Amino acid sequence: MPPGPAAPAAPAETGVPPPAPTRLPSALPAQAVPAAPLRSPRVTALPPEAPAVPSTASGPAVPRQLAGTARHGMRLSVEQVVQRFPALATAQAEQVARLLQGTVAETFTRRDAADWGVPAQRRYGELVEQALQLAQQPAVQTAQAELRRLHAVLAEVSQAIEQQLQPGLLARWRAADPWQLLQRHRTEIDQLRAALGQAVPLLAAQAEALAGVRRDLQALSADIEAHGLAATLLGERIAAPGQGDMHQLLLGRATDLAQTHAHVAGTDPLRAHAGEQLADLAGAIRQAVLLLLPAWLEKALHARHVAPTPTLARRLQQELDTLLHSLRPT
Amino acid sequence: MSTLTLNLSKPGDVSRKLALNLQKAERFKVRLAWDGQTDLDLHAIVCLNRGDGAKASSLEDILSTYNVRRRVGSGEVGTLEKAADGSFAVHGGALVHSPDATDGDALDVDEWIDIDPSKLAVPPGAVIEIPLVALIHQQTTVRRFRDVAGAWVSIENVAGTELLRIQLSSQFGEFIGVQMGSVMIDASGTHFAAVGVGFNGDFNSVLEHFS
Repeated sequence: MPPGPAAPAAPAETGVPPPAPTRLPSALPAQAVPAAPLRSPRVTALPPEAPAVPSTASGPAVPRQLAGTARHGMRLSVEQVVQRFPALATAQAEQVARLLQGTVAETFTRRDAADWGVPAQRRYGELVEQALQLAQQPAVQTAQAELRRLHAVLAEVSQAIEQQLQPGLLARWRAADPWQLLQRHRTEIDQLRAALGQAVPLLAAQAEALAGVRRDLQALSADIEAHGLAATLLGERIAAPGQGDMHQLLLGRATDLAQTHAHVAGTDPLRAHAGEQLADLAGAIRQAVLLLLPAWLEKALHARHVAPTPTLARRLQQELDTLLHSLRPT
Repeated sequence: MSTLTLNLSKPGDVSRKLALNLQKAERFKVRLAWDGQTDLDLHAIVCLNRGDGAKASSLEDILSTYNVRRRVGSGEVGTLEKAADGSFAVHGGALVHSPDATDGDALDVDEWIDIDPSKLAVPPGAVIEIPLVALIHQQTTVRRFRDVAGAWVSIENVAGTELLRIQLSSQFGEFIGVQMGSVMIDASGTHFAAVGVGFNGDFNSVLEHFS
């Protein structure tokens, strides 16, 4: 479309930077007058020939416009969106209205229709990839393997205590001495404790990153839904049935986006579960490995020197079982 | 004679709870993005409208990369000082411009302007108008927005609500400049007024209009 009749001339292609205008003192007082109280923004749709006047009691000020060609988005209110989609929340209706208000019907092409909402879908793919990478980080696998090994070692000790507490001389004779067994595993237990302790900040950071991706996906889900509903309205308003394949194209986009939205919403519980698992893993390490285990080891290793009574041995075994319950592999 | 006063409370009156206005002062963020080696620019002009149209009266009112102090040939031009990070500002930081991007290589936003209206004092009876303009730099080989891939501009308020988004490449493809709208500040408050006008002219033609 050619520019408006009063449009300024095209720029001269001289390669010389534009000349600076004459310098005059600014008419604005330098903070002499306190700033006016601020209030919520209003988005004003303007008539093309708005007069350049300051505000009056009758309405808000309208801006001075450059000479040129005015293009406006579709005029569709939030109320009209809600009327079309009654079950829609206000915030979502506002998002749909904003999308349409930013769409200029006269320049909307078949290509625009085909690309409608595609960037949001592409972004969805990127975020899902990020979530997958986070879930497959070696830190998680390593921590889980170390936790499983620690559980196995301590379970062996618990079993040995249990056997020693069995009635009958034969049973006790066959059982390995649990305290010697613990001493044999001591180096490995200490190494596992140290490694798991170092993994905690990594796991916490990973849980935080996963939560961030989930939040981004939830926001994106709303955006995808809004694009889908806007595609329906676009199909109805600027490409009525019978007007070529634009209508079909937009309805196809609406369906596609609705499916993507349903998929994002449907997989959110999986991501929530992955986040919870990560938080549980970090929590188990903090509580059981870094807090309960050292305390239990101190008592158990002391017992090794004093030949514990069955009562003390039973208590140590019960404490160890509680600890093992917290450490159970996921 | 002393002034008569009465206690205005009644039995059963509930004392007022402390409350604060939880609304943040309005601010705006203008974002411009594009792909490729073209040079697009964001500009803003702080104008005063006393009833005879919005006008800027000083170079201090013009937030533009063309107004940054620099050496051209043997002389120095421009009035705004560049900060260490390449950004520049007018009116004590009321308007801050990102470092000038000469290509669209940034991942998302290439140029932005932050507007903090609370730093601008409105003279009585006047309106401050801040027209916002996106333009193709005149020395680039690209001549129209349709030749620029993925060019868009948006305006967001302090709550993060997008007030306007324009797809420059498709909606204003035959132009080299767009006035997105103006931030309006008067005694009644602050708002963004959308304009959406495409034009073919350089930044000095914009200045001519607003001075």
